[in-house]
Amino acid sequence: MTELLSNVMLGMDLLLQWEVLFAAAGGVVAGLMMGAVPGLSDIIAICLMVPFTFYLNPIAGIAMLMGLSKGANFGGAIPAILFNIPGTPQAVITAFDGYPLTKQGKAGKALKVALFASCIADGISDLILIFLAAPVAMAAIMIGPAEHASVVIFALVLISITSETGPVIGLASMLFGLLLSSVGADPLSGAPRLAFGSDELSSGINIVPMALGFFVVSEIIWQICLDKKKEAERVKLQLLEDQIDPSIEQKSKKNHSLSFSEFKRCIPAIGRGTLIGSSIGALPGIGTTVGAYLSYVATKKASKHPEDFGKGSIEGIAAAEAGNNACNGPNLIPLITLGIPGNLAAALILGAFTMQGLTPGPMFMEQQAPLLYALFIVLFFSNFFTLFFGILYTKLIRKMVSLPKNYIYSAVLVFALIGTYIVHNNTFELYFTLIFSVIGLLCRKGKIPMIPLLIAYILGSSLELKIRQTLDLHAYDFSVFLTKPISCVFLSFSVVVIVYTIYKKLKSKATATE
Amino acid sequence: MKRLFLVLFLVIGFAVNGQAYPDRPISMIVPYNAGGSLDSMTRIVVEFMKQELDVPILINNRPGASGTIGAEAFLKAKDDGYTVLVFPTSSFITPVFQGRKAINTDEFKPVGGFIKSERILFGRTDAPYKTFQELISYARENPGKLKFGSGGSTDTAYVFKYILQKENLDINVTLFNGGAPAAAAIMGKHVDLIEGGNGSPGDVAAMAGKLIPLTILSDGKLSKYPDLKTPLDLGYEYASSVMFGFFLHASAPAEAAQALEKTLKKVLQNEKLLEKFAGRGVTPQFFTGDELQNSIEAGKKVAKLYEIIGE
Repeated sequence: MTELLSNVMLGMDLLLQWEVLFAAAGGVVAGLMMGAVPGLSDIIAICLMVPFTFYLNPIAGIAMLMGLSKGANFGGAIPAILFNIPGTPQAVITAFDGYPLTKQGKAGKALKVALFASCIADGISDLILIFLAAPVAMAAIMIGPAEHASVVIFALVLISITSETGPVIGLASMLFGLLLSSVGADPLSGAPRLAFGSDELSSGINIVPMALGFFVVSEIIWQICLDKKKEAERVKLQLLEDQIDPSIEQKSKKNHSLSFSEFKRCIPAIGRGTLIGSSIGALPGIGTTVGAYLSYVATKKASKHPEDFGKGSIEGIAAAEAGNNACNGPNLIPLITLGIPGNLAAALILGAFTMQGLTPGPMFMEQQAPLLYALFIVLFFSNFFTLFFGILYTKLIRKMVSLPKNYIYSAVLVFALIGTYIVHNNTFELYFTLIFSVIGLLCRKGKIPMIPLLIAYILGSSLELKIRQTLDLHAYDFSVFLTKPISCVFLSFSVVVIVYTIYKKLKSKATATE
Repeated sequence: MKRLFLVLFLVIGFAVNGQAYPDRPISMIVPYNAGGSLDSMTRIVVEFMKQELDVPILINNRPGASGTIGAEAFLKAKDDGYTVLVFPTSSFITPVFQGRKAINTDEFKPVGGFIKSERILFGRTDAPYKTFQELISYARENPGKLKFGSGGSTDTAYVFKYILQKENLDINVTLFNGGAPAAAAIMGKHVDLIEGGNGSPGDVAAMAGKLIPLTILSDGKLSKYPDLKTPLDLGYEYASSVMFGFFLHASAPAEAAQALEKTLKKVLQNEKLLEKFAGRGVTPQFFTGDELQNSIEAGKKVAKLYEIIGE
């Protein structure tokens, strides 16, 4: 406990350089703005900003990314509530009750509930991180190469099998990601393979150009293609906006403010959401959308007014937002203690850590404690930034969201290409961005889930490395993966998850034919 | 006519004084990621060299292929002495261990070194052996039992493999991708021995009494572990060698090399520079171009182990 305190104090020292606070606040603002634009998710925001953070010192750079992730996470709720267009995937659940409230002319109230629920849940989850990271890191030393490989296998299976398009395509997408990760340097000897004699390819495909092309550029092109179809819808939206703004807004201020009794009614939902979200967040690979969904369902079951859910229940919004934001803190536990990212945002932050020369893992916690606690404290304080800027921002928001898309898209495209180039000053990587944007488009067209592919790509080389290290150390005896207890447990979990999914599928087919 | 003489006089004067270099910005190629340890150490030294030379020095990070991409970008640049390469000598031989074409070291002119890194073999505190000799006899009695993980230095791993071959020992060998994962593996008792650099997480743990330093595997002694011998002292012919230094093209003007070497020597005596290195686990020190060349030669000798031992 005293060690924790002294680390927190040392962390404070590092933190009180204004550069760090400024970076975190800047991240929050940028995140709010990008998260609020439909189509620009928190992932895209992080992809775009990663290259620019290399010009900051490591703490400021990472603090900025974390602020960004927080800001975008709440930002996504804004268009979900106002226009029923979720800015981020996890905000879908927020829209269930947020949009009905907007239709009733209570948009302000809905936004405030979302903001308070996000910040409270996120803040508590950061405290959980601060208190649990050190003990988990101590336990993490038990994770050797064999155990590490099995945990990664478990995470990959979980991510692929829970993807929305079904387990088979999910697994296929994951395997393709693993294949891509084997291009470049052999992780053990560094010898080039599948590099086709090119020096540029011999160190592998860098994560920044890949993620920017795969997620960001392809998303922009996809949106442009979709927009033609959506033209009609957009006109409708415009009408709706006009309809809400002048008439109801002036009618009563009460509809937009949040009374204390209403806030009190939301507290159990926030508490439940925090608990569920934090537990989900600590597991690798499940993600914030599941956290939001489970929290919403649980709150609906426990509520005295379940019939209001879906029709504009403030408890529903609180549950959804608490559930998704509470994933944020504990998500970093596997990342920092093991170097295994819990979701895509964490995977991209892992990339940023390694490019700053920092290697997350059990030794990281022990030897870089002040730096890490500085980060944790920034995380905690960023919630106040989110609260502060969130209040300001929701007042301006309607203008921002209706900014012409052609400006937004071209700006994003330019930043994506600049971002690719500045990491290594290498024009060759621009080709990667373009190639991966085509792959990304094909995935979108073919409804192939993209997240398993990207996570498998990120974890692929470490999975191979750990398997081969294990075999090197045990004279190529494969049974070691089953004789080591922790490794055996995770491999069994993976098998159970696969078998259970198949069983459920068969059962639902059987009932369908009956 | 008077004017022409004046111009000639000035030109000759500058040439004689050697003040012509540098008269414009210098570009410095760092073949590793911005923010990494080589990059951040280079940036500290460069900051002081800038003031001394009174011209801007632009750092150009060109990472990839274990340094080869940066080295090749450097060779493609003009050999006028205004493009400098920062390179660890061990990186010249890395391609050999990866089954790639070796870098031709004759194309580089070593200017001066600023850091020499030593590689150390560490063991666990709960092991029955406390010295290198005890380790050898324990390993001989328990073939196949011990596990060794390299902390990311392939050439040092080969020196260790050579010792095993010469002593006819059976120890399982693997590579970790850096000092931190190797240290985590030995602290978690997943391996018995690791190899790590001076100032690496393993070394930090050893200084805190959590690991035992057994021997040095590179070619220099360390004052903090005075009892440890190098493999050369122990009678093995090979020892790895890592020195971080500046390089110019072999055909670059001699005055450029001299000016850079002189400046490097001067800034490495600056107290403020040494302060900035405090807490990094390594102390910068000046090495002449010849000493840098010796480190390359030592590395090239180790590279032969790839043929002797095989993959």
